[in-house]
This record gives sequence, C-alpha cells and structure tokens, in this order.
Amino acid sequence: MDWGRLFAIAIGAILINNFVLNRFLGLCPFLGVSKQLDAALGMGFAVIFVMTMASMVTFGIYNYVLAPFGIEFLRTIAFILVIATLVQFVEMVIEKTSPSLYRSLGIYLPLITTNCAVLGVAVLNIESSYGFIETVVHGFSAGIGFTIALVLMAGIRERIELADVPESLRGVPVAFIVAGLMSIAFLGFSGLAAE
Amino acid sequence: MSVSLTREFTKGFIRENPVFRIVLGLCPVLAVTTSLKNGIGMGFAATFVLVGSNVIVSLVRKGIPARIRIPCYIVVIASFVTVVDLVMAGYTPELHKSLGIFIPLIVVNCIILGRAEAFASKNTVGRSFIDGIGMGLGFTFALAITAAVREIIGTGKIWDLVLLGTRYNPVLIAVLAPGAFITLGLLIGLFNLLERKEG
Amino acid sequence: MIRLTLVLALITFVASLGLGFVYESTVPKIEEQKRVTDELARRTALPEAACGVFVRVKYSAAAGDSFIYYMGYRNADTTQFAGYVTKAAGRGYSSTIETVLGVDGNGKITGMKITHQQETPGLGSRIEEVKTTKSVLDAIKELAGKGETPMVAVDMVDSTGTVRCLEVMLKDQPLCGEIKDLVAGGDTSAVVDLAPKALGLSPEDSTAVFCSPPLAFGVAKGVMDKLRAQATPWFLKQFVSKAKGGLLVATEDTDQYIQAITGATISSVTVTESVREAMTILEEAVGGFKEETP
Repeated sequence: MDWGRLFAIAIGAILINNFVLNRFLGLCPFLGVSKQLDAALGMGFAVIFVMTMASMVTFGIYNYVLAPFGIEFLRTIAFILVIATLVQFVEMVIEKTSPSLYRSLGIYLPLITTNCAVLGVAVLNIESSYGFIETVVHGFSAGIGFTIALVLMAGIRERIELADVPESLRGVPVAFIVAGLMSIAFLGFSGLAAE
Repeated sequence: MSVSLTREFTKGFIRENPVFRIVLGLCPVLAVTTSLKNGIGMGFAATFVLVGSNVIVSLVRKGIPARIRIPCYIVVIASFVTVVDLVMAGYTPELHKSLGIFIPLIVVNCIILGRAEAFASKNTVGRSFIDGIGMGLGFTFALAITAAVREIIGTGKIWDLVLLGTRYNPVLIAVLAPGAFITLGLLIGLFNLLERKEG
Repeated sequence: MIRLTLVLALITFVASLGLGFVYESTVPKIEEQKRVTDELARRTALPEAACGVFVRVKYSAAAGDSFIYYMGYRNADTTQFAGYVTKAAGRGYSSTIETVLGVDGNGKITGMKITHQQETPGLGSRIEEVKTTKSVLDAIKELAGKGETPMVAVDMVDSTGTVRCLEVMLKDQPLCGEIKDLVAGGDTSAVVDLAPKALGLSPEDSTAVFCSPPLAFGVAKGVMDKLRAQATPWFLKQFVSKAKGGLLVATEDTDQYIQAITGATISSVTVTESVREAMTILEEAVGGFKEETP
C-alpha cells in the first residue's frame, strides 16, 4: 500500500484541486445551498456520502462491465444512469432505516443527481486510471473538498447578507466574487509546490 | 416565422439568457472560458445536445410515462453528449483535449435537462427546436463574452490575434480559476444593472 | 411497473444502438488523429530526423513483453542514422502521462514531447502549453517577408530552440517547404553576413538558428530569446542532452514529502521515472548505446 500516494490524492482533491474552486464542479449547489450554514453542512455530508458510493459503483461498472466488452464509449450514459439510480436507492434506504438522518439529508439527495461533481468524480477516477482504493479515497476527499468550500462559502454569505453591497451585485454576483477571492486563497496551496 | 416563434428564438440571448439571467449551467462557463476558441467550441457542443435532446424529447413526449420521464430524458441527453464526444475526438482533437471532462459533463448541465423538462415535454417539435437553438446560442453567447473578457485581460490576445500589443503585461490571474469567478460575477452584475436601467 | 421498466430499457437500447453506429464511424478518424500526433511528436523528439523517416521496430524482451521503438533517419533512403524514438508512459498525479522521447546513438536525449496527460487543470495541464507557437510562426513569416534573403542558415546556436522551431515549421508544412527551397543547396557560410542585412538588423542584434539541413533560418535576437523562454516547456531543461543516469529529480528521501503537497511534483517525477525506465529498455533493445567519444 502506497500511503504517500493516497495521501497525495487526498490532499490534492481537498485543497489543491478543490472540486469547486479549482475544477469548477458542483457550482449549482455551491451557489444554491450556501445561504445558511446548517443547510450547507447537510448538503456537504450528503455529497461526501454519494460521491464515495458513486466512485465505488462506477469503478465496478467500468472495469467489470464496460471494459471487458470494449464498450467504454457508453461510459457517460452508463454512469449517469447508475448515479441517478444510486441516489434514489440511497434515499429510500435512509428513509427506511434512519428517519432522523433522512430529515436532515433527505431534501438534498434529489439535488445531487444533477450535481456535476458526482459525475465529474466518476469520470476523473476513470481518466486517472486509479485502482479501487485510490478511487474510494479520491471520491471521499473530493466530497470533503466540496464540503469545505460550501461551508466556508455559507459562513461568508451569512455575513454578506448584512453588508452594504451595490444593488446590482447582490446575491449571485457577489457570491461569485467571494468565490473568486476564496479561489485565490486556495491557489496558495499549489504554490507549496514550486522549487 | 411568426412573432411568437421569433420571441422563442431571441429570448435566450438577453431576456432569459441561461447563464446571465437564469444562472444555470455554470460549471462549463467557468471552466472552459480560458480562451474564446474553447468557449465557442463548448457553446456549440452544448447547443447541439440541447437541440437534439429537445427535438427527441418533444417527439416522444406522449409515449413516455410521467414517472420515468427524467431517466428517459437523461438517456436521450447522454446519447447526444456521447455523439458530440466521439465526433469531437475525431475531428477537432485539440478542442476535445482542452475541453476535457467538461464534454461528458454536458449531461448534467442543468440547462439541458431544464429545457427538456420545462419546455420540450410540453411543446411541439418545431417550437422545441427553435427553443433549443435560441437557448443554445444564448449559452454560447454567454460563454463567448466571458471567454473574450478573460482571454483579453489574461493574455492580451484574442483568438490568436494580438490585441493589446507586446507592451501589455498580461494579468495571468484572469485565465486562472479565480479570474473565472470574478469575471462571471461582474458580468452577471452588469446584466442586472442593464436590466434595472431598462425596467 | 413492468411497463415502465420496458419503456426505459427500450429507450436505452435504441440509444446504445445509435451510439454504436456513431462509434464505429468515428473510430478510424480518431485513430488517424492519434497516428498524426505520434508522427509529429517523433519529429519533435528527434529533430535531426525531422525531414527524414522513421522505421518501426518491435523488440520482444526476455520477460515476453514487446517494446516498440523507432529508428530515425535523416534521409528517406534510411542510410544516415539519426537516433531512436520511443514512448515512455507512467502514472502521474491524476492520469497516465505519455512521453515521446528521442535518443541519439550515444544514449543522449535529443528531445521529447508529452503526447497524453490530464494532470492538474490550470497548473499541470499547462505542463507543455506553449502560448506563443502562433506568434513565433507569425514572426518567422513576418521576417520572411522583409528582405530578399529571408531565411538564412548559420550555426547550431540553441538546441531547444531548434526543437521548437522545427515543430513550428512542421505544423505548417507549406512553410517548411518554402524554407527548404530558399536555402536548399545554399552555402551556409556565405549567408552568415547576409542574415542581419536581410532581416534589417545590425549584426549584434541578430541570432541565427540552425535547424536540420536543409532547413534553416535566422531570427532577430530578441525574438529568439523570447521564443526560447516561452517556447521551451519548463521541464525540458532537465532532459535534453542528458544520458540515462543524468536525469535530475528530487532525491529519493524528499520525494515522499514533496508528493504529499502537490500533483505537479508527482507529474514531473513520473515523467522522469518513466523516461528513465524507457531508456533502460531501449538500451537493452538496441544492444547498448555507443560510448561517447570525448
């Protein structure tokens, strides 16, 4: 087991190539669910869960169904169907087994089907030719990276609500500008690399 | 073309611009707008998928049971996306390479599923076709503007044409990730301002 | 319930069938693109054979794996051997990095080109992005239009610049032909003095660059410096003219720490290691490199 490599993948997905701030994946929920801290946390946990699950399942589908038959070109269509089904399934299971968890996560789950971060992580796993463990680590860390960005954003937006922002920039535009500043901060992590 | 069809066509540009007004489908808008070429390439790819899926969805809208309509739409959209993916890999390899994973991700672009659900599933093939083209071009227009701003500021050039001369020192951050967020934020703000002036 | 499943299955089936057709019809085109990319990469990696030919060789190693490399020749009738070209592949931070690599008879790297990678977007993906390719081309064209003796051959000045300018020319075949005609058969020493004049520059201002005979041209000094600074991929420095043992990378002790911080480091370590590995196999395949004569 190459722990160094796994650690690198995790740090990379959380900080350096943050899914939201550097790879631009999952922006719709990033803007939509970042108005309140509680909601952001709930959404974040749901995304971590689904991303990890989706990484595992799509790994299996690709390597044991698509690749053996040489039909890799059906990847997109297969992945999106699998993810949509998976989300539905997870929703049903949580509803049956843990009503309290369902109350906190349930409303976010349907939103995740069209969250491009989930399909994005599945596609990236394949294109990076990760093994199973790496795939799981990458999926999980990508979710954490998403959650960190989302929660930070929610914290800032709760305050911006009270600030005197020019009228045309209120709401989404100022959220983008804040995201830009956050992205500059995250750019600092890549600076650790040089020389 | 009747007045209403013209309206259907032009609404996507400004009034209901999917990016600047409705704020949908943002991932590619930020990710691929490092150059005008990429922006327009992405715009056309999405337009093709949008028109294709709108037409097919509106063709089969009566035969699809309501309960499974979303999975069906997704299959239709994913098929068109794969077509675009394969065709681009074959004919425009450079563009295919620079758009990268954002081609398969057109599937989850909210604009496309949104139009299928909100428009094509309720309207005739002709109207859905026009709607697809209008919205697609509106999306392309938004990508082109964002990309042009970023490319000019970030490299001093546009479409390989040196615009600001050699004395201009490019502001590299505009083509990096933060530049994408800030440019789009300001552009949406500008559209808000224009709307308020008009209204 | 069954009806719903059937409808969905039918739609998926029809969609997949359609995609199968599209796939079948685009496959040849995609393969063709790949072939052209590889060919261009080979010419970049072994600049001396840029206008020559490459012969594919398959070597079956003892372990049973086969290894493909190319013998590059300066001319079409394969009499003047220029060097070997092979492909190195290794797993980087988030993709498999494929490098096409040129090696001369002494085991020295003559050039390389990354043909496939999907590393960090915005950082690693610029691993080799050359923004100025077009403007260099434009600069050459512009210079070509200035005087009566537009393209001038002089001396080997800068090998990385050579690699790059060849690539630029090969991208645009007509230009390649144009230059060829202009200097073919010309006495290179006689044009040394002409270069600056033709370009409308004072001798101190100009640098002439030698490509592969009979390809050659001269460019203004400032342009060349810019070209060199911007057109040389950042990683190339540590490879070109290095023999197998001489590739520079972070020492092994520090690798672990560095890897944990950035994908870019992993990417460059991967390139180095895969190149080193490919050279070991290549050395075995060609029966050892020649000792360099001092």
